[in-house]
Amino acid sequence: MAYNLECTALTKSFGTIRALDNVNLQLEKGKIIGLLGPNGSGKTTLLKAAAGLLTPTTGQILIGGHQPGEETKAMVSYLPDRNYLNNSMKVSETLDLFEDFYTDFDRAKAEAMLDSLHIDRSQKYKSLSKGTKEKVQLVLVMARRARLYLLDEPIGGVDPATRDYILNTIVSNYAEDATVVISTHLITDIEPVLDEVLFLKYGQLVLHSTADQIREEHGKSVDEYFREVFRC
Amino acid sequence: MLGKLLKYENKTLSKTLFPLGIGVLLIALFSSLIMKLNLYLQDQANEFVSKLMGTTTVVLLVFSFLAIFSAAFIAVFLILQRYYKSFFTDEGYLTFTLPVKTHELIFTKLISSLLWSLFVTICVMIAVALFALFGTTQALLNQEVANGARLLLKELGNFFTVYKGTAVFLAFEFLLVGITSFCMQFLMFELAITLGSIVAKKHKILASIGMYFVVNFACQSINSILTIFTLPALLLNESMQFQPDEPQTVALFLILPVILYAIYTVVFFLINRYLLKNKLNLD
Repeated sequence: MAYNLECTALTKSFGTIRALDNVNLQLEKGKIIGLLGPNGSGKTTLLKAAAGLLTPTTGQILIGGHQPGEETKAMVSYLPDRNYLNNSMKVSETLDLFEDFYTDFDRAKAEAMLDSLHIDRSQKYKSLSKGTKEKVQLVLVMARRARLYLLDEPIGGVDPATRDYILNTIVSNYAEDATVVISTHLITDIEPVLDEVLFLKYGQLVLHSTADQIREEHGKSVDEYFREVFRC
Repeated sequence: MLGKLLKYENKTLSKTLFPLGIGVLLIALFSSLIMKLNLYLQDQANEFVSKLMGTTTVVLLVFSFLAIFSAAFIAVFLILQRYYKSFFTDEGYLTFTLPVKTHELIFTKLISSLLWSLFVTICVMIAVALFALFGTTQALLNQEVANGARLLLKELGNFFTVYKGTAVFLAFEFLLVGITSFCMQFLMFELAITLGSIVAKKHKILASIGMYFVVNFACQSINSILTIFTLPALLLNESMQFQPDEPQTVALFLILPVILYAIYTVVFFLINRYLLKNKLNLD
């Protein structure tokens, strides 16, 4: 059985800088995984490589046993750390777009989520506030029945009340055979929903453990342990 | 998926290029009207008013013609800007995570650029015809221009009657030259943008312009070498009975650019597909 995400000696260099350095990992289905590390540790690079936006320098990355391509893009739901929607589109048009291209997109669910967040579907994307834009993107991404969710800072730009809603959405929306990878600095907020944790440091994977294991072995929360490992 | 990609691409391009085409037609109508009014007033008004009208009209006409003819350049700029934006800015994060094949993305850009360039070209041609027919006379229609157009059509008809098959073939060849040179040119632009965006970490647009000159220079060099080696051989070949006035000769010589442009089109397409598939590194 193929892993939802598998990296073998994955290395990505930008000139002389190694953004990812010999990363080996396997992520199983049915887990929510926190991808944690300080700025510049390679979190976004790893997610982008899995989404097919970067070509690895050496090594291999597989999604459901396949190399990034048309097939894997149909099973990966990726939320980048920026606004990637066409500004001239209306919110309803972005729903049309996702419905057209992703067979696993559940429009009814997306509309229900937009209504819960009080987002007017007739509004143009460019007229929305920064936080609302992020909410729209998250709704689109989470309304898919994907096999692998890659969420880069999904709660970074929203208020605490919306954070709870988003985290609830993530927990309640992913299917049993799916894997959710969340990259964030807001560890305390996401800690309750995490099954596993990945620590990246200077592009290297320094820890892959369950959240319970960290708490049991170190007697600390994931957030406290993170602060200890990455103390400046 | 190509159909869906085309739907969204055309929708986005239509937001800028449709108003551009319509704007060109409106400018032509407006300048025709002003010109007609000027011609009418020149007979009616006193010398001062007549001179003032004349100067204003000349200035207006110069701007109108600049606007009409620059529309084609603006259209090319907008199409290329769309290519850059949807591939190499934040929008690229969506474009390249859609479950579509790389060649479908390139085809989408090519087909939509072909369609929209055609639309703007037709608008410019109609605008020029509108002005020539209605804006250059006090009467409703400029009979001389209309007669000229009629004569041109008649001559074309005669040409087709006399040369039949060759004329049809020649017309087909001109169409092919147009399509292949268009495809080659746009794919060259797009390849240059891809190269510039992949190679440069900053100033990607500047790098793309630089890459365009590099690719263009390489093509010109290849063209020169090919011309040196092939043209004299063709001209000096007695069995070809070279007669530049004959449509048959023109038809024969037009095949060469069609083949050359088609080869460039395929090569640019393959390089671009390889780069987008294997060397993509979005910031």
